[in-house]
Amino acid sequence: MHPLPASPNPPPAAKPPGGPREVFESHFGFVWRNLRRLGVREHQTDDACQDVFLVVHRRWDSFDARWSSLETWLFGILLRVAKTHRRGIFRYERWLDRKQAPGEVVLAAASRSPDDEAVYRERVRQLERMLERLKDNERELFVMVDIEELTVPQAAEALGVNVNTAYSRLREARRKVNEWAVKELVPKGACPDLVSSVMATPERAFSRVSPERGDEP
Amino acid sequence: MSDVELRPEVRALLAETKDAYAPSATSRAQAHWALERRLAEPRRTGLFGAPRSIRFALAALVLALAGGAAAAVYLTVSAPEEHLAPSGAGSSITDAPSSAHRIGTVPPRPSEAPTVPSSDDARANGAQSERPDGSGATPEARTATAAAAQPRADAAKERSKRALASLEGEIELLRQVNALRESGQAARALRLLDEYERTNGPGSLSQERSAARTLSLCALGRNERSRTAAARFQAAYPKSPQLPRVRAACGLEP
Repeated sequence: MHPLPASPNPPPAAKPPGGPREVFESHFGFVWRNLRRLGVREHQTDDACQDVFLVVHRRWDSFDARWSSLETWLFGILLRVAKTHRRGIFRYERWLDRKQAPGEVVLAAASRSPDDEAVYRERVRQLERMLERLKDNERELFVMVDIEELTVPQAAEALGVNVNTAYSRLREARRKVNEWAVKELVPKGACPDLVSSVMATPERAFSRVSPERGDEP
Repeated sequence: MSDVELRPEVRALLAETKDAYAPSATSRAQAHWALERRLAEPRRTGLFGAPRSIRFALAALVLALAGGAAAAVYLTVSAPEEHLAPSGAGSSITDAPSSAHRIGTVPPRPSEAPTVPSSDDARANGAQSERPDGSGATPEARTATAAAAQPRADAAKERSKRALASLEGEIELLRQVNALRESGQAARALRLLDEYERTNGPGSLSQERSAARTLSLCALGRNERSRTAAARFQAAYPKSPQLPRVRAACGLEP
């Protein structure tokens, strides 16, 4: 999906000129989004975000040229914070029956019409269901590589695992996601491969039905 | 190396939801304010700086150890002295000091050392050997005492564990309730509070729950019911730090 970097060791990142407060300004959205994608519930994201930036303040000196990018370093922190918060959620939801737990709140965007908003919310729920099918370590890899578009060596660096282990986890995650997509995203009765080919190259697929050839009724 | 490609449907889903979970400006401002406040606090070190789960686990361990120690002291005090003393003429020399250390007792001479009574003798002498503090109890009676004390210690341990779990649950409940109320779902917040109180009864944070309930009622609309609830909260907790917030939310006169 993502090309491998030319060198197995990407060039080290220079320390951002600003301090941790500038990192908060520039990367707040990045941290918030990825905490949610890693399974932290909405009502806990605020606390989790603060925890991440507290660690950023305290460990600012530890960010040096060994890290390939600021995002990799931040991911290393937020993965641990997300894990701690997920454990808290698990204990809470075990007490409160999961069926009774209040649903997540997807914020409405003013620019979308009500119909589009409903479709968008359903797509976000699909994303959540898809991510929930993965084990924690597969989910982390999937979010970093396939959503945030980090390279696999960078993701392995953030996780502190071997690159080959990261590839194997990513392969397993993609396999599970593809299996889920065939069941959930492909319409019932449709041939999954045909749907894939149409989605991959819609121009070619629909060009067969052209008014010039008289295929249109 | 990662030879499994994502299906186009998945890629489409990821592209469409790329901007999902974007934080609102309010969330950013609140997080900024809270972070600055936390950074200004002196950093807690040692045990007080440990994560909450570790602090709870340590508190539970300390309570369990205290319960165990109390049970052990109880059993030791109620155990008969004879049980610790050497029995029979053939007792070793090393046993003698332990009985000599006991205040008010004279170590028995070897010739006078008591012999282990047979069960018949024990029954015959039962009346004389019984003492009010139970120290003269037979081994069977002592076993029974120990067996009766064990469930008490277990029950105390269980109670302390339950109390800790319940407190943690209540804190989570309040977070959920506040999040729901702030996102405009006050009715759900009230249902959650009702459900918790029905299944768990009164807890340790009843004042906070009462404030959360009153605020949720007022968020649903300032009517007679919400004003009554606010007045009741004011009467019940006149010194509550949440009172100004309740007053402001419910339009109550100070």
